[in-house]
Amino acid sequence: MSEEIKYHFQKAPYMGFVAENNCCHLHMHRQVEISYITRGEQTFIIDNVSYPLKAGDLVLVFPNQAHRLITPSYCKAITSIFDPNLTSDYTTQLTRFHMDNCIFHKEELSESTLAALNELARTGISKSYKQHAVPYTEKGFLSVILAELMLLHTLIPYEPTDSPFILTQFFNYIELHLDKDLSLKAVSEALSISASRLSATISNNTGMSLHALINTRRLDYSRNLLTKTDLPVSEVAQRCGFASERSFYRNFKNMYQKTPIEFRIKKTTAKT
Amino acid sequence: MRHVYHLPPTPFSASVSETISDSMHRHGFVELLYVLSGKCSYSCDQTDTILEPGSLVLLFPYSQHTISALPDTNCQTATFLFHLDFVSDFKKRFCEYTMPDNILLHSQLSHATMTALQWLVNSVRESYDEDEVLLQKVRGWLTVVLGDIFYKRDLVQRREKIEPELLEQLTHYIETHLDQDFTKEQLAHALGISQSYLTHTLKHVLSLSYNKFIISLRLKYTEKMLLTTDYSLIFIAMECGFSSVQSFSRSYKKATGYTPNQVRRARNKSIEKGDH
Repeated sequence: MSEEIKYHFQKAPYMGFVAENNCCHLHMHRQVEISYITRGEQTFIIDNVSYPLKAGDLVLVFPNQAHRLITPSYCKAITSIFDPNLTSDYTTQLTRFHMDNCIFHKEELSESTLAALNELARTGISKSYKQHAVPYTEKGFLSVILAELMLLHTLIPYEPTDSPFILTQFFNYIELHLDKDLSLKAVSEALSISASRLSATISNNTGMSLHALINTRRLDYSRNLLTKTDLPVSEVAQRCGFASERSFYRNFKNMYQKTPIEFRIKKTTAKT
Repeated sequence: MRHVYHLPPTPFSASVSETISDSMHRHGFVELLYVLSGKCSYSCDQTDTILEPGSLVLLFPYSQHTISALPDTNCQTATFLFHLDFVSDFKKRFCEYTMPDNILLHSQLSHATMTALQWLVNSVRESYDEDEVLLQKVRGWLTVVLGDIFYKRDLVQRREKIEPELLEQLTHYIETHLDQDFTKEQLAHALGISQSYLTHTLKHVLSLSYNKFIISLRLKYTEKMLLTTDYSLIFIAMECGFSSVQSFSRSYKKATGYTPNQVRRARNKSIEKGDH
């Protein structure tokens, strides 16, 4: 279950990578995310609004904004995910505000910001951190970038509520229990909140129902298992928490217009 | 107190100079010296080093140092001076430690550091006072450079911590009372510390006795006035708290090797030539 790792870097002040063809299901974290598309295109869905991005676009995701990303064909992006306390000059702006428009185009960005992004791409690949050491290189270049971004668009005060907390708990819970019963009743009991509150928080913040959200996540994971493993379909259905093979087939076909087996064959032939 | 010239308290300043020549001095700023081309000699705490192109030197606050370009090497250096609070991440280290080996050669700098230095050098042409964003970027680049240096170099604990606020209050008090004849007791009282602590701090941080410290500060201001104003020598001597022109001239010559008159004449000549 390699994907769950994404929810567990809460202790690292900085994580950076150059990602190719990154797809990521709906999730959120208390870190800030900056992603700069260097090649191809990618769609970011943030707080339920869809932003199609092309090479040269930069996106700034504030802490606790629910987001997901889709790569239609090919995409390469420099991504930095960092604790808002790392860039201490901007902690307030990052935690108490959101932005009216969180997409920046290459023409808006100065040479020094682009150079800083390049340096982040370099350090992201080569460095693994000593624990407790502050990543000053990244902090420095991120400050250079943020200095500019903070002025380009308008900051809007943002009142933190407890929904981010509920949502984070919810996402963490479903990640770890994908193969278990994830009905509204089961999840709300596990998180000790009322079912109506949980369901309202989810639909207000993501625009999706709990059921649809979990279903999407399950299918997403099943697709991973189908391409990356040789597990039989029945096993995949079970690991992804579908009650029966039949319901797995039905849901899969609804979503991707292919049966799981067709999907697997296609992917395998595409590879060879 | 009027007319006493002092540096504006900017958090950051930068300059690129050809054939740099700084006589022995010390200040409360952190200084980064980056050799862009040619060679220069640098000495700090009785060790002399010849700096090759691409070398980077980090000078801790109040360390005594002198830098001069070697002739005929086409020496170009960039100097960045910044206040301890400008890079607060590192303030504690600057106050409580020293760095015995504070020189990094070109080959020891990370790629990120070289990029950051390049942008710092590029920024010299801009005006920092009016551009808040630039100042924030400068802070980012400095964080990269200092982070790299602190990763690579060992620190040694100081016997006595530097108390930057105390030293700033001290210089401020002296600046504003330069023309008065204040006693050590009055000064200690104004700073809210004991006389013995005052002596102790000066001795450990600046390795100067109280008297030498006061005289050196007074001379520092007389020099600025000599070079930047047309005030008469007697006026300058009085403004800076000397009892007579004679005693001013004597102290000045002892410290610099020139008489105030010689300095004045040199300045007048350069103004006539239109160099100023």
